[in-house]
Amino acid sequence: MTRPVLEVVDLVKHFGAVRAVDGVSLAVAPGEVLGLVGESGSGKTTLGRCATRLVAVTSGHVRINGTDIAKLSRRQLRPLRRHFNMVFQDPSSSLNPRMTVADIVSEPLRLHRIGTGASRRSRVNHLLDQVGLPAGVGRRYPHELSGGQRQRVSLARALSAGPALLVADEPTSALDVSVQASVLNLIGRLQSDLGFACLFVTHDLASVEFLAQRVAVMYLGVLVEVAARRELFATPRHPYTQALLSAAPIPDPPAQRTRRRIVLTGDIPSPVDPPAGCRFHTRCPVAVDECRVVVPPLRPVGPAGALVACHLVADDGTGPRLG
Amino acid sequence: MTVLDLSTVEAPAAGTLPATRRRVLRRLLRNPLAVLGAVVVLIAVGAALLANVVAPYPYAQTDFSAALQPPSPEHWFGTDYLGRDMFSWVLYGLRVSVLVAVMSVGLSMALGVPLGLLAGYYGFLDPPVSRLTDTLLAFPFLILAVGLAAILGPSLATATIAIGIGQIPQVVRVTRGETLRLRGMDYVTAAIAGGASDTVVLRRHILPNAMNTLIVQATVAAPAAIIGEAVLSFLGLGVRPPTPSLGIMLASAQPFFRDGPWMAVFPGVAIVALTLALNLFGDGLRDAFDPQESRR
Amino acid sequence: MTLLRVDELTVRFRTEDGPVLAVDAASFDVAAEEVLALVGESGCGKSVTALALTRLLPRNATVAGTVTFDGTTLSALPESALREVRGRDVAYVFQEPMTSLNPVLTVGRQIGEVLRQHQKLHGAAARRRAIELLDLVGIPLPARRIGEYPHQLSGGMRQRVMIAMAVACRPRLLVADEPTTALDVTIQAGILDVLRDLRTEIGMAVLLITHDLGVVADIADRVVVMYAGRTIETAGAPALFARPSHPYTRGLLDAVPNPARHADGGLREIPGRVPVLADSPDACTFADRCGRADETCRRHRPDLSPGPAGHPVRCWHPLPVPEPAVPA
Repeated sequence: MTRPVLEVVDLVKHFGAVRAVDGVSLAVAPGEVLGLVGESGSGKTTLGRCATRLVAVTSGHVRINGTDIAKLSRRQLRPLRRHFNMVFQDPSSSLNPRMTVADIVSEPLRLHRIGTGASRRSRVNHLLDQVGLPAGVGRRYPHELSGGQRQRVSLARALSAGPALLVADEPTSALDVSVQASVLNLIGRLQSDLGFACLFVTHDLASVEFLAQRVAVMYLGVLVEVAARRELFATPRHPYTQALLSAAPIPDPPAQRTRRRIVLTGDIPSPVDPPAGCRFHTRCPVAVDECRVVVPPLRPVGPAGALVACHLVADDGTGPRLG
Repeated sequence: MTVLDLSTVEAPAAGTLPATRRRVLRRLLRNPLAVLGAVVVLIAVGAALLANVVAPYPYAQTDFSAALQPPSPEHWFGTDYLGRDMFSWVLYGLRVSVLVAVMSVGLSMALGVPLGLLAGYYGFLDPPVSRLTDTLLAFPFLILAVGLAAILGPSLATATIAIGIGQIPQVVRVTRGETLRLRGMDYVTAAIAGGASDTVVLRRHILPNAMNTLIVQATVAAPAAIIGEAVLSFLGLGVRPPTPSLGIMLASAQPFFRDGPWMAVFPGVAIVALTLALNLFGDGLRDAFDPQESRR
Repeated sequence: MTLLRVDELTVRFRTEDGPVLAVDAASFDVAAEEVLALVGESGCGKSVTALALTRLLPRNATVAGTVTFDGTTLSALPESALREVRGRDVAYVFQEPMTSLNPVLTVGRQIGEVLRQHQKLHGAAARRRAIELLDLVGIPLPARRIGEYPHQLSGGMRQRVMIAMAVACRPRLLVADEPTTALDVTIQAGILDVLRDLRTEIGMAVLLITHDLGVVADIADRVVVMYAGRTIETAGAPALFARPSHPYTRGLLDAVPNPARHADGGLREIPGRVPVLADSPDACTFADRCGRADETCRRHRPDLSPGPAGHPVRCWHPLPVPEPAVPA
């Protein structure tokens, strides 16, 4: 197996008493899009920020192309940052209003002293073209652009230094559906053209289904299931994954109204004091006594090597079907 | 392929667009009080800077034959007990006021902005900087001025330094608040993710975006500095005669309040008018930068 | 029976950048106990329409057209009479439940406030009713919850409280503006269930403002699609999804990644962006972005008239009805 671009091992991140990420291991292969799905409070955004070391890591390892960046200082990290970058959710706050688009996109190049003034300019024009913006946009300021255009500028900036890993944190959630479609198409196209690995963090199952090759499902700071996209959407094994898939309405009235839905009771428990045993047991319709006591390990099940953290799923991948 | 049409305008829900320079100017011009303030400030500052051209008499020229004259076509603001032309005096006094205001605000910004940036950006520097500004705040302004006057001797420079130091805590507080706010913006995080050093983040991403707030802070500090100078000079802790100062004029008018009230009235009116105008302009500027904030 | 009729509703805003036409002669109606979804992207005028029904718009707005509710012309009522209508007959639920609740009052107090104002209920009676209402919207342990403050509740619970307050006076119409947009999907499912149940239990109609076609598919009886201030297509929900007539509706449906469809080769994009108009042009406002547009579309305003699929559409060249799939 080739060396993963991003390898997270036993990652823990606590904010004071809040156990935002509590022991997560995952890897993203070169050229792969891994969808990281979860609801608010699941820790998915924190995991993305740990992977790019925008926050300090409490314990565990974060390896980018084999280099462990988990414990590096800000100064040590700085030269390595050209290898990984990030796109944010809110296009209205992710671009400096006082800088022109060209300055924004070329900033990583200047910071890493890549190229000369002239080569940076042509690189910026090339990048703007790649993300589908006309060259004249370079002279404009962010407030002159629409939300979708700003998100394209964000992408151009993140990719300007040619990173091996892109972490995209809900890049389409603040956009209108028709704009979402174009940004999702763009990420897909850029990813297959440039071949970077991508950790795609989102709550939107439909966009993961569209973009990701593998999907990791997070709940309350831990992973509950990791599987290839087709397998996960066809045969979700963890009860939470099943509930999540069934709760997302599909835009097709007859299908939506006849499908059986699993309605979960209660809210996500507080990450300050997560439930003992399986963290999902308080909302799980099929939980047994063991679930309340023993933490289920994330282990391979079934023929295709999906990973599931549930006591009730057998080694051959069979388990409870809800709904 | 997406066709992008930049000619269509963005949805302009009122006040949601960021403040561009032209937009700020337009909003400012629509506010009559701010315009009035700006006009008064411009006239006062212009007259003060051009005092040697505008003033009808040399300010120190005495004329005992014309002592304590009420306002007249020859002496618009009347004359004082030495027969000096009050109008010329007020103009030169304003010049000192403006000078002290600019210098002391400059001093407080030069020291307060870096401290505020550091305190807001580096969590570990916040407690010591806060302690420092609290200490300064706890120190009464006049005690500070008396102490400085005792060490340095009363002078224009002493007044400037006392006022400048007295305003540092406020500048630190405002800058720190802005830095904390801006540090949470995604574009700052994006700059760090792109490999920016702290210097780059502070200089390119935080300071330029804090500028509007700092300009408003300066328009609040300037009138306070003008009053501060007048107070210190009135008490003999600031500018010393024969340098003209509105504060000194008020002090020297005290014995003549019955015989020549205009000696106190005109310098007083000058101070009030200039500080009021600066405040009106500052308020207008704040509203123009951030109309949503002020509508609350 | 028609409960709400909106006729040629037009809303203009005066802004710093000149006048903006937000709603352009929108017409639709809501039947009693019906869930009508008003669908469109941001800036299409759907939220402004909802607020304009009972004149909740800011002062820089001017409203024309008529709104009739249960035989009463709301647009002719004075403000004092309209205040009676709001809350009692027409109630609102908004997207962000945190900012709509008063942080310093308990949930019970805030529901009690509504009951006192509109139903003259006090003391123990009000408390009993408040508990009933929380129970109605599916809040567990309602007797304990009424003593809690908004910050002690989760986002989903707060939205349920908002709904409880809205339905406290058994309104005939609930206007819900993106009620689940700020919530997680597993929580959203529960809120949609509450709306569905309330409709049958207290017999109210729901005007649902949303951009989420999944939500529409889940709960709406009929759909009105808005674009650039105009209502462009109206149909029963199944018909709209199966046989959209307006190219914009089609585009909107194709832009959503749909796990059920497994479309390969990317999502359909709608080129260009929504225009912001100062005045109503004598043209189709979608013409600049439409692949089917010709000179007629650019020169003449289309009317909302029955299209090839049988439901009203505002288009000169509506899409043909697709061949019914032959069952294998």
